[in-house]
Amino acid sequence: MAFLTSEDILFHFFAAAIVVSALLVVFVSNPIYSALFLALTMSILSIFFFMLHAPFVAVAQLTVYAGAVMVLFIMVVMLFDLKREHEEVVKFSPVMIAKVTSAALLCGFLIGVGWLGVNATQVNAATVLAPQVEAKDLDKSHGIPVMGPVNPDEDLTAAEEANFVDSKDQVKKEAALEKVEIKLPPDEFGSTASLSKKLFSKYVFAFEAVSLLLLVAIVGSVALAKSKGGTHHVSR
Amino acid sequence: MIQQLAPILVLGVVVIGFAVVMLSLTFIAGPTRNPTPEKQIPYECGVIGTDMRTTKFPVKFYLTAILFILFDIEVIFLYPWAIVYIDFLKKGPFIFIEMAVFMVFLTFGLFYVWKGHALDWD
Amino acid sequence: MFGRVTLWIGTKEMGSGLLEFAINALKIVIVFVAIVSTVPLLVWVERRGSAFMQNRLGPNRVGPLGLLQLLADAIKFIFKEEFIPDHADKVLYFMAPGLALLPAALTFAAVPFSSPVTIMGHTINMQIADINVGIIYIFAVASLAVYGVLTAGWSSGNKYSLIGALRACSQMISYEIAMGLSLIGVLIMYQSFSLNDMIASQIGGFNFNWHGVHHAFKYLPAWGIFYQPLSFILFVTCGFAETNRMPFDLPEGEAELVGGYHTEYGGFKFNMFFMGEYGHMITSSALITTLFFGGYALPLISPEQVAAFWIDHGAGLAGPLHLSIADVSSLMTTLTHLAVFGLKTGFWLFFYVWVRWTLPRFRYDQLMDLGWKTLLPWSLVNLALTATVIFFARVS
Repeated sequence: MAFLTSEDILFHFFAAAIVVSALLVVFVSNPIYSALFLALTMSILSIFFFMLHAPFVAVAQLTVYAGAVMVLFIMVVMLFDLKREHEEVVKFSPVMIAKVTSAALLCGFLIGVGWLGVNATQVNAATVLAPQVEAKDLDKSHGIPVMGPVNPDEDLTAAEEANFVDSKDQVKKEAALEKVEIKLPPDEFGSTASLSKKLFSKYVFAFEAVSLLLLVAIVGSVALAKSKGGTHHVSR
Repeated sequence: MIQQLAPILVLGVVVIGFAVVMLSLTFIAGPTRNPTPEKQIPYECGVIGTDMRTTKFPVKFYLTAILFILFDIEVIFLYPWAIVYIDFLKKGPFIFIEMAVFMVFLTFGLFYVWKGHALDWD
Repeated sequence: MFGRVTLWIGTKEMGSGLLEFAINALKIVIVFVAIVSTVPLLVWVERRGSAFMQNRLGPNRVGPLGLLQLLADAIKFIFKEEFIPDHADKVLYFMAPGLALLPAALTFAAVPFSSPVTIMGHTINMQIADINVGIIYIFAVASLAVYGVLTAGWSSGNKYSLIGALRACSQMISYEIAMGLSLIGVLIMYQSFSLNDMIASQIGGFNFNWHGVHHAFKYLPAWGIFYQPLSFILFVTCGFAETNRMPFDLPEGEAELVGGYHTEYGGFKFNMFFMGEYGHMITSSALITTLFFGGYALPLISPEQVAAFWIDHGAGLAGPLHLSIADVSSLMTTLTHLAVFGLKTGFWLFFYVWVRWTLPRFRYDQLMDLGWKTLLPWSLVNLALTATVIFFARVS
């Protein structure tokens, strides 16, 4: 038996939304639309962080990425009034070679990751499920181990009940009551207090390093603007 | 954790629905569109506008946005510190010293920006 | 694959069942409608209030005291002609008012406007979403308000709109830093992001521990303003700047850039920008009351005491409504708190209107100087002072 929770529905909806949004970033020709879709992608990413029990990271993502970095991007696009991309004539040039090479590398990377991922899950599934599936079920299912009864309208037999191992183990016990109590992690999981506990004890050097990094960025941006004549002191 | 967010998503849907309904009401109920040239040109206090979008915009908008990002990140780091500060003080003075060091660096950054005339006349 | 599909809709936030989901969805719709209807009321307050401050009468023809004026205006907006300027980006031109309205509505979601009510076994939170990172969620969504402004300015196809939008955007982002920093002192005191926790901390009398000795002032409420007065001043000032209200409304200043980023907008789209602005104002006032003035709770009187009061005096209502005494008490407690919240928020909304028609507008460079060179350093001072005092005196 599988249960479709609202969390699953929301996850799949937002997963589709974020993939579409990210693809549109690349495929629309108007740079403002591109930037706005990227901002949308960042915002949906924050929802994912929320679903992963990381509310502080979700809020930080929304504040910094969607609220600051993307605003900068959009302001830059508006300030420099970038025009739509022109259709480029496909001609043999270094740029063309670079584009093709990077596209090929990306495809290779994706295929490699996918191959590794599929192999890993097959290994896990085989070791976890094999001891629990009886021989007669293997015949019915044509050698592929399945979770739960092969015929979905049947309920589990007593023997299968005892052996049924699911990722949500308590589900089989409470399913009889028609009431599903999905156990959530304890409140402290992913709370900001536990984040702080780690941040200020174990990762304190990283924390101080971040402040130095920010200082470098501040000095660098002012220096960059000055060199381009941005601050009034120079441009007067 | 999504349970905390679900009402907000519902609210988002309600707001978008409201906006769409209101705009379509305007389409339905408004008079027929009659775009005359006088109505269509960009508004410039009654005079005919000059050439658009060739003005060079000042870089200080860009600089403000960059500095905003950096100081916003600083504020983000201050949030988790603030809520555990009183609690962690019981364990010793380190929590105070850590943040003091962090703030010293960033105050120096603010000082540099100020004296470097990056905040002037914006 | 799905042997038995059970649709499970949320736990305590949205209710574990279709009935509770429906109740919560209805609550969301009611709150949204309430906000949308508060906006015309607020505009009425603004127009009549500004009129009296300027020694003239405001709208007083339509309806009693001119209250229906805004309804008439809203209906008029619907019947206006839709036009799209020549150089406008059509898609963004239509999306911008919605983009401006969305963050304004979403920020109000985390604000608790009354105590939870328990009727017939169902507990309904008087808050759209009880997020445990409440206040920083509000700031995060408020920072998204910049998109509505930028999109409007860009898509109008008018270079003055674009300048106005960029200036508004720069102003808003500059004051966001000061706003966040001014809040840190408050967060140190409350030790939680959740607005419900903050209201719970502000119940009772003013008390603190100084070097381990407990001091209490029974007749002073434990409100945030008494713990962090400097933070309060900074936060209110930044609130004015964030919502583009006078004296910070140069980006939309009528005399300067005609309408700034909403010059080219007419009809209901224009109205939606103003709904967004007033929505931000409402959230800002609600935040001021929640952070610094105890939120929906009465000063020095805890919600339990209010509930006990209504148990004693609410018996008369139990019969006609067919509810138990506990339910009636809960309901009346919630209504009492709602009234208190309304009064406090209403005062701050009036304060916004009052300041607008009293102070002259800032020049843009004065505005940016104030944000970066005055409010930001003072917020840092506040933070340093609070942290140091707590460190040396082990205040808690």
